Amino acid sequence: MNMELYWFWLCTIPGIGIKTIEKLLNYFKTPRDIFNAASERLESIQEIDNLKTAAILKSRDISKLQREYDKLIDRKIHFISCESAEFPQRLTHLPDMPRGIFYQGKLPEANRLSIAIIGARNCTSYGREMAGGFAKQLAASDIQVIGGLARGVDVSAHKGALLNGGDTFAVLGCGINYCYPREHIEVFEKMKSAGGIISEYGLGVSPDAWRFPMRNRIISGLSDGIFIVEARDRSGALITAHMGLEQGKDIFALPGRAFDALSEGCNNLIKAGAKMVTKPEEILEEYQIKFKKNKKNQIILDKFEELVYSSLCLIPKNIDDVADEVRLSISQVIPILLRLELKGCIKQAARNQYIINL
Amino acid sequence: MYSKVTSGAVYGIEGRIIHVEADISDGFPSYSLVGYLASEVKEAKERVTTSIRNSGFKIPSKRIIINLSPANLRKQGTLFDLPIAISILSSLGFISGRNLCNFVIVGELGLDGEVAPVNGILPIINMALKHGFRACIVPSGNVREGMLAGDARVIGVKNLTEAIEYINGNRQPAVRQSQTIQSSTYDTVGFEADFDEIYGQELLKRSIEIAVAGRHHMLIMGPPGAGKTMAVKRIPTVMPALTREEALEVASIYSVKGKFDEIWEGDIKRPVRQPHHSVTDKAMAGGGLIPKPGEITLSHNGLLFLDELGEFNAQALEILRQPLEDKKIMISRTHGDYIFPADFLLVAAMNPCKCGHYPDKTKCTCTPGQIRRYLSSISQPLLDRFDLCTEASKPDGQKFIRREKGRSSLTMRRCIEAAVRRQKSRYKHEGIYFNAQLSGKAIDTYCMPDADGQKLLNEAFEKMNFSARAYYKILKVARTIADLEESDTVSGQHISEAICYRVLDHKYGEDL
Repeated sequence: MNMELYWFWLCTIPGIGIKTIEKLLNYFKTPRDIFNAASERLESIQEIDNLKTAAILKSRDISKLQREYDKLIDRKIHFISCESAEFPQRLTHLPDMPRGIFYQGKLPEANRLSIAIIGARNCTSYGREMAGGFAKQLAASDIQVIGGLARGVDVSAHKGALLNGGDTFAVLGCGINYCYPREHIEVFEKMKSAGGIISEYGLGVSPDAWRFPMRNRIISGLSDGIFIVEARDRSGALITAHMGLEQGKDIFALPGRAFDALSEGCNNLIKAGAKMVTKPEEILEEYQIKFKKNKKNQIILDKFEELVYSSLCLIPKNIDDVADEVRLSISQVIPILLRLELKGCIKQAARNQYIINL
Repeated sequence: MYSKVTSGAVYGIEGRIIHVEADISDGFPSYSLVGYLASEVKEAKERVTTSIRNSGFKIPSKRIIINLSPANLRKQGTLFDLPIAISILSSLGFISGRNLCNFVIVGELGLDGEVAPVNGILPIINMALKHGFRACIVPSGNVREGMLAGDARVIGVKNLTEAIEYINGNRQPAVRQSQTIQSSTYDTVGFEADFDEIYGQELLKRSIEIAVAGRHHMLIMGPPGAGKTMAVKRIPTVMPALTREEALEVASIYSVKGKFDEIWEGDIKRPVRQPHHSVTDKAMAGGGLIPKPGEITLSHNGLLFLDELGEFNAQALEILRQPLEDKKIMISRTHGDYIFPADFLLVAAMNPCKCGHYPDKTKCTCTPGQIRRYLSSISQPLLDRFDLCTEASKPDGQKFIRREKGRSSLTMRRCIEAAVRRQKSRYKHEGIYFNAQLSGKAIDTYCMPDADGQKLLNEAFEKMNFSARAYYKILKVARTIADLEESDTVSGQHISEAICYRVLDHKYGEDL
């Protein structure tokens, strides 16, 4: 049995988490030693309770282990331990680094910059568009976009990066084979070929709430900078930001309006010294990367289209308000809006509510 | 001695002839009433004898048998009291049998001999006309209703004695002006609500105009307080006048339901029904052993408004599917099928989510899952039956404060009436009246856009992921918009407006 298989065993024992693994590794040097240790020796460790010891003893079944490992290979899921050469260097700096990770697709490349884009699940269209827009531009500049596949900001960032054919990586809080939430299955599948899916949990681990803060350390660990788009005070995204700070990452935050509860977290981060960014260039300049201008923006608008376009922003506006603002009638404004929408300049955030398309 | 009186009863919304026969003979004194009777008809026995006595006649101790024929039809209602009394009195020789056969008689009796109004007069009189009767004796409270039938001589009676005098020819009915329905409309002056009281909301008003003009069913979504209900309440003010046929149908339905006064205001009003969201499927469709019209039939030729669509009982909503296609509803009972007309304009309003504020995320407290669940409470087949969908948004504060008046009901109605006329003349050989009723080939014949419109539609079809159904709906709605603008061709302008009002599918809120 090779060493990777021992690591695989250690990382997939039910009921044994990262803390217990660290304790075990303190007593025994390698996972092989743990596997082969006499049961009395294991039971004699005070720090590990009997339930856990029983779980370890029960799982020491080589044929079953081999079957599980083969299942991974069948599903094109890779497992690498922290000793493997491919193991992301960035993660080795974590104090509670995962001892092994599962992934599909590929892993973030060490020599390419990676930026995590995270934020609220229940975000506004402002957050959604900004996340998508930033991710698109960053991906165009060959940056790897990392997120958590969560609803709202995270998935918008993944989608944005995919739009420009960039690499984007999702760190899951559940088993590597689960797409959670399941409506993101399309993005999930796409990322297997444009980026990758990463998780520290093996096949069939359910998406329990407590696992998600745990995976946040991997999101921040894998990235060089963390961009927080929209976050309430004391939200999950802020936990990631604080982890990132402890890990010495750069923190970027998108400002919001003073009274927006959903931007409170971001605004507080800015007060505390995070870099305020409103354009993707501002993230890039931090790393001395030159911004690649998107050539696609060469759409010609006529006078009225220009007028209507300029009345829109990232806060959804309904047709009545647009018509009122540009002083045209409803039936004049509607065709203009449709033309702009078909040209891809604007889109509907919700029914009959228009925002500009970044 | 035997006597026979002709009366009538209502089954569904159709009248039927019922004969009331009485036979009084010598023998052991008895009094029986037969003919498959509901309990209110059985009770007529006591009411009738007392009221005869109180009207000054004496009933001898004889063997009295009364039969309501055809005896296999269930008889319901109180309208047989008067014919029963007349038949008894005729058997006793107080009324001449020769005169009797000219009349159709209905009415409820009080113990003092007074005649009280009953339901369903109009269909009964229409039936009487069809069978060649020229005179009907009805309670005086129902005369106004009965006059609408046209040719019939409708004699209103206050009490039993009066009825006897009319039949015996001792008294001539006062010459009444026969009431005909003129095709008048709501007078906007007299109407307390008007669209110009709604400040802003031009989009909503415009889509209402389109919905009414082309009889397109419409769904309004918006947060609480956006003015959805307020706008819908004003729809009757812009609906074109009822035609005579339409008015008669409406009057018959309300006559059967005993709600004639609700739609009578010197003329027949267009019905507007707004059932509460706790309405049951039976109340919606019509129910009872002998079914009575439900909400959808009461809104025939008018407006059915379902406020808070998301709160309705799913069964009550699914009932709507057949009538929305067939313009009628069939209710089956063991003793027969009843068909009620149900050709109405459906307007529904709902909040976009449980708290009502989505997509305003600064106020909406719902999770994406909750929003999806709320919207999916409306089934896709029902959503497919809406042609228009509009978002009503919170009124613009400035416009509200400035009291900026928009278009008034009168101007809107003028446009709608013109559009309705255009449709009518265009479809005179098709057997339909409105653009919404177009289907299949007819859409290709009448709704084809010009080159510009076709190009736009094709582009939108590809980029915006329409279904084929949505594509045809857009064409129909665009046709109506063109009609409102008095244009023969459907242009790009009309197409783009129609696209804007297209019906949401379950993809709504997908981007959460």
